[in-house]
Amino acid sequence: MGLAIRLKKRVEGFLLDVEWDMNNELLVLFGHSGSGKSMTLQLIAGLADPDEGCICFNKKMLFDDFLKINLPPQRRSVGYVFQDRVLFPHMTARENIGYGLKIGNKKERDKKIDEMFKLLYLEGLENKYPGQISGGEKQRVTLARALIGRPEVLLLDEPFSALDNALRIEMRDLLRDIKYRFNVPIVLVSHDMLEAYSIADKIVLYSQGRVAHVGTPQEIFSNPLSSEVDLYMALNFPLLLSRF
Amino acid sequence: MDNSILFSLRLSFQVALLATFFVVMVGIVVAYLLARKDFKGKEVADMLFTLPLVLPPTVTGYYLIILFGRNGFIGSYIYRWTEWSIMFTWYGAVLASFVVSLPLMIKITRAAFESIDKSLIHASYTLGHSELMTAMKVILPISKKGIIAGTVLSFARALGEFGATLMVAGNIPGKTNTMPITIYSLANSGEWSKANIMVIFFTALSGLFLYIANKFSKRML
Repeated sequence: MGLAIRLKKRVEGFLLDVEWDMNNELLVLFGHSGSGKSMTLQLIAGLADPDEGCICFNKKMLFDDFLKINLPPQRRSVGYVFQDRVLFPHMTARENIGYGLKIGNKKERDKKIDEMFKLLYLEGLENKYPGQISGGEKQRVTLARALIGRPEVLLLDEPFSALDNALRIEMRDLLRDIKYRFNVPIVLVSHDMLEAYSIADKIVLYSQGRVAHVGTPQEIFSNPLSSEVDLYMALNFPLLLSRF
Repeated sequence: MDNSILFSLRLSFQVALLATFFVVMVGIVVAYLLARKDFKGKEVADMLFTLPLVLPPTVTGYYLIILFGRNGFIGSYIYRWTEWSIMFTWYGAVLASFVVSLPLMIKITRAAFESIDKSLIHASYTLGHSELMTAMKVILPISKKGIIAGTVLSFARALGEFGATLMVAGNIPGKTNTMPITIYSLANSGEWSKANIMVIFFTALSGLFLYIANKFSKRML
């Protein structure tokens, strides 16, 4: 068992009320903006507290309102890649990635950082500051920083939304590679249908703070049961729709 | 320049440096709490710390006498235990300068802290770093320019402090007469040529401080 969540949170008239679980697979949280996808990630990471529910990871409780368990974000072992690439502007690429490592002597740290540079094709950028590198490179540094501490779950909040199409395809390949190497649950928030379709093992479709549908991409997109999916297809993907 | 003017000059810098040291220490902590924490009475605390910025300095000085005077709320205890009072010593001038310039530091540093993208702080937390570590490694370095601008302006304000200093430390030649107070005395006794030198010096120095502070606060944006 990987990650299982049951969450309820009310914020200014909006109610998030969701329940889903996943194994060590790539799960795409899919839905319109404002459907509660990003909020779900923040709750899993401990950056906000649910009103009720539980977040359970490999039988380890991260949050449970009944048992009064609420681990701080520092102790949740979550790799989080934010929507807007947030690298520390005052640190070089190397220092940014190294910041994800809490312990270890210098030799050990250097070895791990070098590994990440190789894995995410970042060689040559070691001493560059975030302002000096491209969007795709920034996103790879952010990924490296989130992964270097070997998180037990990886959360990605629309990480590729600011990249152009060619880069997105490259990043999707990279993500598959990461899934294979790290073997952890990966939750990707997206409102890009092609992205969800091409990369997900499992899709959880959000609609107005609730889970509208759960299934594989094929199940969801080739057999749309929900009006939400229909609408999405019609609006965003007329070509794919015409195939069905 | 005669010795008494040199003494004033040295004393002013001594007072302003020490006051600025405390202003930076206290100001950063207070600004951090006001910017990042929600607690009961936060607005009242903000108001109390900001008051000396708008109060006439003599009123601030009056409050300091009530608090730290030999019979004051805090001063009486200090006097009972140590037989020493901060009144009419150069430490009194430091206290007055500290209280008057602290709001500048708090305002500017708080604005710098509040302008930091919250996601950066969240990123640091999810990477396993404590709040203290995040403050030291992320928040303070990113706010560096705001902190420098605040420090320079506070120093300039401390150096020019007059009203509250006069109330708390008095005008004792060779002991508590800082530059602004000496200028006042010189003007009073009609020693214009001496006063002119100090006034020009002060004006040039303040201009330089403003230039530095502007340079940093502009780059901060």
